[in-house]
Amino acid sequence: MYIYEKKGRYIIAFTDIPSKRAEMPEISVKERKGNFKEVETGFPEDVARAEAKRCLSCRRCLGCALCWAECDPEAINFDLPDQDFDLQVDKVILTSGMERNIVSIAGNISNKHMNIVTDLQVERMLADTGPSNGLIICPQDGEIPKKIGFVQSLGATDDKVRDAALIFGINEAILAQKKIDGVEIGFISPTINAFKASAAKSELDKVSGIKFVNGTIVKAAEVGENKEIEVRYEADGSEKSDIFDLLVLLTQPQLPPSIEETAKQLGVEVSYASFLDTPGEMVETDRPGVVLAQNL
Amino acid sequence: MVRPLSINTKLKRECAEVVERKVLVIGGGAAGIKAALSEAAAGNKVYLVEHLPGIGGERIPQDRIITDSYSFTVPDVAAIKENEKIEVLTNADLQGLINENGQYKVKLHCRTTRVLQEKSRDLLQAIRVCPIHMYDDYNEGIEWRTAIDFFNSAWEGYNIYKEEMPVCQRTCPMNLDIRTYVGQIADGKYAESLATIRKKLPFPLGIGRVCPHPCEFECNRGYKDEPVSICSLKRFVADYEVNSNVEPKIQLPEETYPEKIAIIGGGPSGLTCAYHLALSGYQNITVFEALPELGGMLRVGIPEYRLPKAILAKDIEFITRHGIEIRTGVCIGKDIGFDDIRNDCDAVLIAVGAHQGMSMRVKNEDAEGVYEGIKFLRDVALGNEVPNKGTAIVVGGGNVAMDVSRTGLRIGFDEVNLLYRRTRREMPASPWEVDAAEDEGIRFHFLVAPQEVLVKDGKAVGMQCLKMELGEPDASGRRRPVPIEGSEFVMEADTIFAAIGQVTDTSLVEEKHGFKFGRKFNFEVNPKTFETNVEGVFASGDAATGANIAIRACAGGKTAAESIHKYLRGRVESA
Repeated sequence: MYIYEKKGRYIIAFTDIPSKRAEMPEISVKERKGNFKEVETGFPEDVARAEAKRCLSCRRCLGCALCWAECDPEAINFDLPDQDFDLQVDKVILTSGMERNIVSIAGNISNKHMNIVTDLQVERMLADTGPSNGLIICPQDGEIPKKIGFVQSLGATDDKVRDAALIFGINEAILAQKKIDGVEIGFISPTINAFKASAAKSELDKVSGIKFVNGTIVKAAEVGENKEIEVRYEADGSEKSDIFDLLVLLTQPQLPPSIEETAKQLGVEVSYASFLDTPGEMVETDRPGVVLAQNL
Repeated sequence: MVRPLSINTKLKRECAEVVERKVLVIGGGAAGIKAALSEAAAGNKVYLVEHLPGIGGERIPQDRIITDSYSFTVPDVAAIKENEKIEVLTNADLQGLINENGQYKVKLHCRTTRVLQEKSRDLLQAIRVCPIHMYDDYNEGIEWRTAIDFFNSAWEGYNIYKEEMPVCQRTCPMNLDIRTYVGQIADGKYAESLATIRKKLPFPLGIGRVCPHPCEFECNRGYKDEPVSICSLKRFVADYEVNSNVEPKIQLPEETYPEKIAIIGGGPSGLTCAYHLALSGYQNITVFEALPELGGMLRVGIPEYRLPKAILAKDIEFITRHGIEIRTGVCIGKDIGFDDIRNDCDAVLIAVGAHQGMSMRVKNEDAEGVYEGIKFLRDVALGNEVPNKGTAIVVGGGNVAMDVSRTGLRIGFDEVNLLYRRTRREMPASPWEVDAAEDEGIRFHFLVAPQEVLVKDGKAVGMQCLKMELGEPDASGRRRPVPIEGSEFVMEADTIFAAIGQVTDTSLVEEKHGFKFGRKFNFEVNPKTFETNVEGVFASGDAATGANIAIRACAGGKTAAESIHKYLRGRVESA
């Protein structure tokens, strides 16, 4: 069982409700040969009811007005309408947004195991104002991890985008080192060697205590009672494995569809890499009055 | 009740006058905040637009490896708050952006937050009492958020998260009230649950078996562990009624209407439309079906092992018991002219589906032994004679290709080879269908494209193929397959099935009727009302959308029924 503290409240996951979804029973492949018998046979009643209880019944705001009763008059107004505006501007400045692709990071690794998290989740944990007040915790039991693995899979075709994702992960590893005394950190990426050979090498040399491996991740799964994560990866031509308390998947930054759409309307062609050229600066496009504010 | 306050009256005033140089900054992250401050410092008026309810937030940099002195990028939110030249618009979506005479006209829609932050001293108390806990998207699901919450401590950005419907319902093409019917199953109220489904969908047995359930991919439970098996639960309640030998009750309204409505096509879309028209009180509905049996693609496209005909017949029986006249084996445009139907009826729905296979565009495609996959499925379903000896090749990577392959093995082929020009990852077929096909012994050949049907004595004997590799991503985001030069090879086969997509057979109408068609030979319709450009004629299902999933066809049928009702009643009123 895990407990999250939420601004003075506790949320408890019920142990009498299954966390795994019910599997549809099927007739065996042998029984299907040469006939058209229905393959899936349907849930028995007890399975169906247990499965239905898994529904979180997502309601969003119910309009119960408890908050309205607690607050000063007029602070909460359930009928406050949406608003539409027409503006006229001389200049449009686009930023890249903060969308990161989770799907393409690792083909056969799901982050369904509680102790596999994304770099974005770690970023939230590292923030002092974030949900865990700056602590890195294993979501499974709320313990501080003693050994953290960072893994990157190939995805981005653009070198700049790939390096941005890598630097983001390395920075998190450095911050984790500062937060947790004596933490062991492993960092597996297929492009570490290429990255080291690039201009950032001198900076990377200053980093110590992180075990970098130039390797490709094959599989990650829960092992043991404490639900540690075993990682299998290929490096130096052979398959190896390692076990971590917490595994961090590096995501890949990308443009949100809304920004792509806006850029199209403005008549400029942009990719995420267009925002990585000169950190913190503004870059003019070939459209008058359209500027790209670079990431920083 | 408190009168809604316009928090942006000042802004509205400014919209009217265009004197000052104005700048729009899109995105309230670190880069956007920096840009807004520097533009304001240069004396410009700045609109900072952010999709989320707040701006700012600490970020870990991705352009440099950090040192002790500066680790996080912390945007100066306080400076934004103080700066009078900067107008921040949160919860905002851009709805239009037009370049006009060197200026940009911008349309913005700000979703309400339902909170007037400046009116309360202690909104934290509101969070403490809120009973709703939901996925916290601001914190990547690290914890839960309450329905009322703030965005971050620098900007605050209090907001109440309220939607018209839960995410599963919003994702469902038919907007089925999933939360209610799943909840009723949890309570053991199976009959009530089924009634909830049937308020909108008359095919719970069929859709509960074949739906690729887009709702489950959005299910919030998926963020926690695994999504709820919504589709299979729908099947469960529907099966429960059948297994307990309960005859579903039919309830027709007392107020009735005399207008005559013709529905061309007795598939999921046509029958759903007929069902909803009957529920609205229409007593003179006729469904014309060209095939000998009702059901459309659910009957002749989906194989028996996924949806048994006897089960589908129960859904159909339930629908037809609503006083709907059925005329099977009547092909409009052949047995009865389209004009006759149109002159005879007050409204017409065209829901003929997409039953015509698309061409592979390879040499010798018309040779004996080359078959449309969709025609093969239809012939098997109708008990017609089909090829079933030796080896088969299936070309395609969608669900129809899986159905053709799995049916092929069942009907007697010794070996079925499936060719797909990309990899397993790019296949449009549902992954569980691909897995099942593999389990049953279909041989997959990825990164292979057909080049030419090899013919001997006028009969296909195999396929010359070409190996492919994946190149750069194309417009769809999938990596484009590129042929490898000199990689030609031959695969022998007795029968070749093309399963690369279906289009609508529009031969029921003629050019003189003046219908407009889309790219896939589909009837062009108003996407909201499913009206065609011809008065009194509506179109829905695959015939309007192009080949798509069954529940979308049902959804179209329901919307078309509402539009037909509106059209007919409007006609009476104006007369």
